[in-house]
Amino acid sequence: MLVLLSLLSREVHAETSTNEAMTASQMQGAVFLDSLSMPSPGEVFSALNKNCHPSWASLVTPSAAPVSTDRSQLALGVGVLAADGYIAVQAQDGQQVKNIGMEIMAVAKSLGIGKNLMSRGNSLIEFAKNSAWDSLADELEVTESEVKRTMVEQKDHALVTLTSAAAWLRGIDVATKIILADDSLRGISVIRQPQMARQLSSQIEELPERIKRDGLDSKLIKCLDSVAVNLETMGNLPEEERLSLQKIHRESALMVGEIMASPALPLRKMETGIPTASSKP
Amino acid sequence: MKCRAIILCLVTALLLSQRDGLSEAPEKKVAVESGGIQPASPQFLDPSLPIPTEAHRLALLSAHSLNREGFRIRDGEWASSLHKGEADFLKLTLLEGNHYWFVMASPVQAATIRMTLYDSHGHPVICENRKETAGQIGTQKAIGLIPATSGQYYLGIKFLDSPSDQSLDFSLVSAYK
Repeated sequence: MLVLLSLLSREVHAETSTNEAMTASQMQGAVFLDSLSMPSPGEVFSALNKNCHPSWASLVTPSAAPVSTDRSQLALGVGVLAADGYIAVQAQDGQQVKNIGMEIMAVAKSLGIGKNLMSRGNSLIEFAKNSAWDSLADELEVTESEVKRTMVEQKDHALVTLTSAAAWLRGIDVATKIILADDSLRGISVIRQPQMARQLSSQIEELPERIKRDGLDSKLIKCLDSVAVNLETMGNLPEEERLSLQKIHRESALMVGEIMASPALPLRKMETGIPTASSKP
Repeated sequence: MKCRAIILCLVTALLLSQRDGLSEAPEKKVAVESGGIQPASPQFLDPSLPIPTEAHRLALLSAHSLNREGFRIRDGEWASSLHKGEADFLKLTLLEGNHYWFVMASPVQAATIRMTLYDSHGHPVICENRKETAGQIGTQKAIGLIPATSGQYYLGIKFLDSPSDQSLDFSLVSAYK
């Protein structure tokens, strides 16, 4: 056994393997992969945990999937629900994780991809029952990936972009709320990802027209562009940073509310009010 | 060949025993150090997931030791194929505060590979380097970083040399904590 353990050996040391910089064409040709190039909500929240100490329990909101027949809206809804699932895991709220798992299954069914996901839903419920938080976080990521894999299998690749964009935006919505509640705006460096907003915006822009028919997508593009501009032009003075964060939070929360709204029902009540340091989440 | 198969079986049995909690001492230590993190089952052992390629299986096997140290392995891979002298690049967004590892593996034996992380301007970044050997099968390499700033980075893999003329099919997985 010891011999086998030594086979899985490791040596850690710091080094740079080359001094050559990348060429412009190499940078241009770099691959962007939804599953690795984009930070998952869990990754964003993990970084926030190290920079500030959010009270995750106060960030848990009831999550209901939109009642809609619009596949684009449903795909966006899966993204928001996945991010909400990570918040519930951070808050160690088992009931909420179960509820979100059921909502994701319901949306997957409406999208016609529920069959492959039944076992995932059961695993989420089982892990929540046993308070297996790390397994739950892994299972959420796998569930989101499986939804996306099934979308690709059903030649609905465009929907994957929408799910990813919505998950990222919900992550930004929650992250800005957490940072704004901190006097020193700790954690602000985590969300400085304007290139991510730009990337998602241009990916949605390139989606086929049949996907972009209902106006929700153009609102999303506008929102992502605005988030990118605010992240790029954010000053270094605390007041300038606070103003930009407030704007990003307001716009992302409104967009998430629109994604989760059912056409016949009122908008999901999102807390777009600007948190202050005294109203820590 | 026979020897390699035996080693592979033994490594898999070892990992399975760890998953089932039979190897207690090191697992408990990780749980304490990383704030109660329980080791998740390696993805290549999950029968409900698609069957991984050999390169992906080796990458997950190499990354499993990170899993035991509290790192979360992302559910995705970068799979590609390179001829000698060729390089491929992947865009990444890394977040300040997180610790990242990127683990690549290929079934091609004894290949010489250069794996480099670049900042948003394309300049190489100093990384931790870690030699992972998944039962000494194929070729593996891993680099790690705690980024000083959040933002865009690039990961480059260059296939420098190998004893055979085979092209290099590789898979890369990432982990963070």
